[in-house]
Amino acid sequence: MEQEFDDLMKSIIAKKAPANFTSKTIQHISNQLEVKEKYKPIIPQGIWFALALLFIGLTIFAFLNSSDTKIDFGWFYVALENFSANLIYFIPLLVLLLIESTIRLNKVNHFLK
Amino acid sequence: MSEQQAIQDVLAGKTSSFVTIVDLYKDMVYSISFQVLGNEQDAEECAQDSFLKAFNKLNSFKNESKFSTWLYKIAYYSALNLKKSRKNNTVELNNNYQPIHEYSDKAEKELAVNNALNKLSEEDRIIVSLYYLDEKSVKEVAEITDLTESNVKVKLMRSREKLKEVFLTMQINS
Repeated sequence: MEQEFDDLMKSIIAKKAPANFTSKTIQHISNQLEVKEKYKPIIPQGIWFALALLFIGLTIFAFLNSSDTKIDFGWFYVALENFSANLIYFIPLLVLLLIESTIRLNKVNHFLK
Repeated sequence: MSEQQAIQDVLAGKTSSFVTIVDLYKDMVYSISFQVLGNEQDAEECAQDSFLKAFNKLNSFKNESKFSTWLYKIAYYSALNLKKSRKNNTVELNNNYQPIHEYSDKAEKELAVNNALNKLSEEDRIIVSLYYLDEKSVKEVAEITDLTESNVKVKLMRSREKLKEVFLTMQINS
């Protein structure tokens, strides 16, 4: 009787996956991989991380070197008289941001077409 | 192709070998999803997502447990998350409930036990399902559900007693 009960339970619980489930799942995975590849950042994350650190560092440096808050760094001291003079450091970052966003926007537009 | 061979192949970049894994476990993953979500459409969607997650995280599988245990855990939590996101706490299966006295022969015995199964709490139903589906041990069920072994044992024993009671009633009646 115990065996009969166990067999009955197995037959109740076990469900058959729908027809074509395997092919649909593989297609689903392929689609997701395609989307992932499409939206992969052009500039690697490591570079963005390094740039972010540089950006924060430069901001602090520029702030400390501005005419209002000038601090003597000794041998490390670089004479930068005001904050606006430091903007030049951010130009490469802005250029990279522009490249990344332009390419990504093009990809999104292509994807939406 | 064996399960281990398929895993090694996928990790080596031969993604087409994942078909073997899907073929091997599709019914089990679908059944778990169905037991949590209670309808075929959601269960299919959830089962597909579970395989996608498994595919993406395959390199994190460290052979510390059986591959099936690892995969069922993904399926179980994916189903719970989907159910939570849908905010739909009503399991469709419960709608099929009919009074036990309406059944008499063997085929209807199945329906009566099924109704009793659907009346169990979600957690109890999953424990029973995992126990019977792939003949998982109590230890493996505990691993999948993140419960203690003793907790699983108690819940399993109580649930089986309830279900057996229905089964025996049907035996006597038939």
